[in-house]
This record gives sequence, structure tokens and C-alpha cells, in this order.
Amino acid sequence: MQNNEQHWDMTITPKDKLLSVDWKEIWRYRDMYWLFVLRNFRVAYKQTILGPLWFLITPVLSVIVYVTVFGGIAGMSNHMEGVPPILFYLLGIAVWGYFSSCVSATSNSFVSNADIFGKVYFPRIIMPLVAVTTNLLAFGIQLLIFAGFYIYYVAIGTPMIIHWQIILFPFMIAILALMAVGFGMIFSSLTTKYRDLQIMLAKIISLWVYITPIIYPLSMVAEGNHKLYLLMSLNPVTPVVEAIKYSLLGQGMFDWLWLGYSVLCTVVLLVFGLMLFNKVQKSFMDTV
Amino acid sequence: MAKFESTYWTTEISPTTFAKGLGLKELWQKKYLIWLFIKRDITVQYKQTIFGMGWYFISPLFTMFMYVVVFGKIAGIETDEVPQPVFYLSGICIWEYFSTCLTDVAGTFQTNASLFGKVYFPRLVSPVSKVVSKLFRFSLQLFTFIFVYVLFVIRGADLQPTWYLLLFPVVLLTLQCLALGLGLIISSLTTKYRDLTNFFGVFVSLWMYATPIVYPLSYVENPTLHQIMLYNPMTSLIETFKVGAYGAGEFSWMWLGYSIGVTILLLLLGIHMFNRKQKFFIDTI
Repeated sequence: MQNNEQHWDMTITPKDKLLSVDWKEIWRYRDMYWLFVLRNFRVAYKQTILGPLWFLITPVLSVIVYVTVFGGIAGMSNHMEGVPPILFYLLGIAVWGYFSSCVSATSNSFVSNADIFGKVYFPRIIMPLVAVTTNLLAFGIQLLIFAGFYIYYVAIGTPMIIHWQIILFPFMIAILALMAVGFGMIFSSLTTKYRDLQIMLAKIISLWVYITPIIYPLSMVAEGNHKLYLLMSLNPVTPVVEAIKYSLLGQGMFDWLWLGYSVLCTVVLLVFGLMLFNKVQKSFMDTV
Repeated sequence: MAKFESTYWTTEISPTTFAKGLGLKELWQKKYLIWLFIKRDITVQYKQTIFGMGWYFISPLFTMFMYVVVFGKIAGIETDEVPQPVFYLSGICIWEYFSTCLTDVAGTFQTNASLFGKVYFPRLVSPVSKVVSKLFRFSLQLFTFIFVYVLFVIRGADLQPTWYLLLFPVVLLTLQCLALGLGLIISSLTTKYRDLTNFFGVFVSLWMYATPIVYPLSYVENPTLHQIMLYNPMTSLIETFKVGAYGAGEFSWMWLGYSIGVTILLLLLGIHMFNRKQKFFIDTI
């Protein structure tokens, strides 16, 4: 009889409605979110030889290779409308790096956190949010490098164009982050069951960069290959990347309608991702 | 007290050193274990998957398609008069095998931490079996390459293997040892310095661009850059394979010898570092 009056601190109920997001609950767990973010930041410093210097070395190395191989050997520098290749690639690498690392971190939510998820309850959706925040660190450092080179180029007298749309920059990054979370959540839900999807996702991301104007400007494609141009225009990352390039480098395209398409894709991906995520979080512990 | 000394042990585990032949003899004694690991790894490659083995046949084709469009069409890179799909596919197959071996070997301590913490066996067993078991996947991708190759020959492309193809086993073995050696060095470093793992992925993908995969070596006209690229031990291996498969590329005994030399050095260094690390790693990982 006593059992009926038993008192629980909290009751965990499955999210039955596929789309329900318990915002209040997430808000209550905000300290946990910060703890995870802080932990990840600290991990970036501890047990490392060069510490956060790695965040500097990799983009610089990437830029050197990109400028030599894509800009030089493949001759893409000639199509950049006067933008210095170093700036073009630095910005591209930073933006793409942020997007792709958010996708892969989100898609690993279940698999890499299986240990914690198996032991304690907290809204699982926190993990993708943590990933998106943590990756901002590397992104910020790369933006600083970009700013450094930018100032250098301005100082030596290279004409640079900045458009007012630069104030939309945080908004652009938010779209990218949300799109990454949506896309990543879809995969995170599927990878618990099928492991080859992880390999497949890595492949998709590594090929995705080629249909995004990162290693070459979109205008270069517009001149000839129409099928590829269509494919690139349909890629929801393209409008955002182009808009960022337009506002910071003066090279690219800014089109509200096209951006609207990106936002629409983001919403669809997020809704779909949340549905799968909610469905899987109930039972994934048995299959992972 | 005396009792302890007369205790009988079935195996005695002692640290391996250079003087004791790098522990290679012990590794040979445990070949059944290597075999067991290989069988497990191969099974894992297609169990609990949607597409099973089919994925390995198809995935190089996706990459090839993308390279043909981006590097072939947009950048307009000429591929030594070899049909672009054949050219890119040859590089992709070799590079994918190399990079997956390298990544897997580099992750030895991380992925096997729970196993290593419990039982003893020569730790080298696990990286060696990884390199061998990836051959399974490599052969499927090579099959795709041969299929496309034959398709182009039927359609009348002027493709002909040369006698240098007989060097393929040498190239493959060098490739494996290079991946093993470098992977062991990285795995030894990553037990203590975790951050290296994250950036390692970036390095591997950059390394690919520095190897003539997406463009032929002959396309690099700048003599200094050309020379620098030859110092990359992967360059001459890829070129040797390409010369053998369809006769386009730059083959030289000297640069092949250079690659083999670098590989031997890295392998010895790798095994040495790995053996030293295996004593303590469980405390730091």
C-alpha cells in the first residue's frame, strides 16, 4: 500500500509526441550544459603538447596546402575576382570546418556518450547543443587568424570590400549550426543501429565540401557546368557560405530568397532530426 | 618467503627491448591470435550494416565522380591522356587503403584500451591484424578499379599495363609498412597527448592533396614544388602503381628506393616507440 505514496524526485516519461521538445527541462539542465562545455574546453588544453596552439597550426597548414594545390596547381586563384587566395581559403576552411565538425560531433551523440547516457538521465538533446558550442572555440580562433591576415592585406593596400550584410554574420553561423544539428541528429539516430552509416557520413561530409564553394568560387562553375551549378545551388550550405563571402570579401552572392531556401531546409532537417532523435533516445541503449 | 621464488608461471611477461628483436619473435608465436583478430575485423566490416559489402564497391565510385567533376572538369586538370575515371580511381583505391590503415593503427591504444587493460598479449598483434584485415576492403575496391578499367578498354581507350605492374607486391608491402610504422608512432604519442588524435584526421586529408592523387605529378610544373612532392614517400609508391597499371606517371628506381628506405626507418622507430609505450599506456590513457 505504501508503494502508492512513494515519492519520486522526478519522473522520466518518454516523449510520446514525436515533436515535443521540453524547453523548460532543457532550461533546468542548463548547468549541466555549461559543465559539458567547460569540460570540453578544458580537454582542449590538458594533456596536450602544444595546447590550444593546435587550433592555430591546423588551419594554417590547411591554408598552405589549399593555396598551393587548389590555388596554384589546379589554378583556381585566377577566378577569385581579386580576392587574395589566402583570405578566400581561410574563410572557407573556417566556415566549412565549423559546419562539418558540428555535423560529425552531433552524429556521434549517442555512440560517444553511451557510457553517460546509460547511467544518468538528462535531456539527451543537450549533447548536440554542447557540440555546437564547443566547436565555436576552434571557429573563433580561425576567425582571428582570418582577421589578422585581413588587416595585413588592408595594410599593404589591397582593395577590400565589406558589405553591410556583415551584421548578419551571427545569424548565418546560427543557420549553419542548426542545419548541422538537424542533419547530425538524423544520422545519430540511425548510427545506433547501423554502424556503416558512420563511415558513410564521413564520406558524405568529405565529398560535400566539393559541392560547396569552399575550394573554388561558385562563379567559376556558373561559367560552364550547368548540372554542377544546379547541384551546388540546391546544396543548402551554399547560400550561407556565399552570403558570408559576399559580406566579408565582396566576392559571392547575397540573395534573400536563396537564403530563405537554406532556412527552410534547416527547419525541415531540424524537425525530422528531432523526431528521429526523440524516437531513438527511448531505446538506443539496447542497440548501441 | 622462499615459496615465492619457486612459484610457477605459465607465461612471464617482460618488457620488450631493441636487444630482444623488438618482440617480433613473440609476435610470430602469436600468429593464431593475429588470424583471430583478422577474422573478427573482417566480420565487423559488413555485419550490422545496411549495405554490407556493396558499400565498398560503390564508395570509390562516388569519390571518383566528384573528382572528375571538380578537378577534371572545373579545374581542367589534364590526366596524362588517361581517361579521368581510371586515373582518379587508381589513386583513390591506393590512398583509401593507406589512410584507413594509418587511421586504424594510430587508434590502436584508444580503441583497444578496455581489452589491453584486462589481458596480456603482444600489443603489436592488434595493429598488424588491422593492416591485414583492411586488405579485404582494399581488394573489393581494387575490383571496382579493374571493372572500370576493363570498361574503358572495351570502349576503346588506349590503356595497357606495363611490366612495372610486377612491382605491385613491393608497393603494397611498402604501403602497409609505412602505414604501420607511422601509425605506431602516432598511437604512441596519442596515449599521452590526446589532442593529436583530433588533428591527425586533418593531416591525413591534407597529406592526400600533397600526394599526386587528384592531379598527376607531371602537372606540377614548378620544379621546386615537384622536388618537394617527391620527398613525400607516398608519391613514388603511387606513381609506381600508376606506371604499372596504365603506363602514365613517373617511375624511378631511386625514388622507389627512397620510399622503401624511409618506410623501414619509420617502421623500426614505430615498433620501438610502441614497445616502450605499451608498458605504461594504461596509466595515462
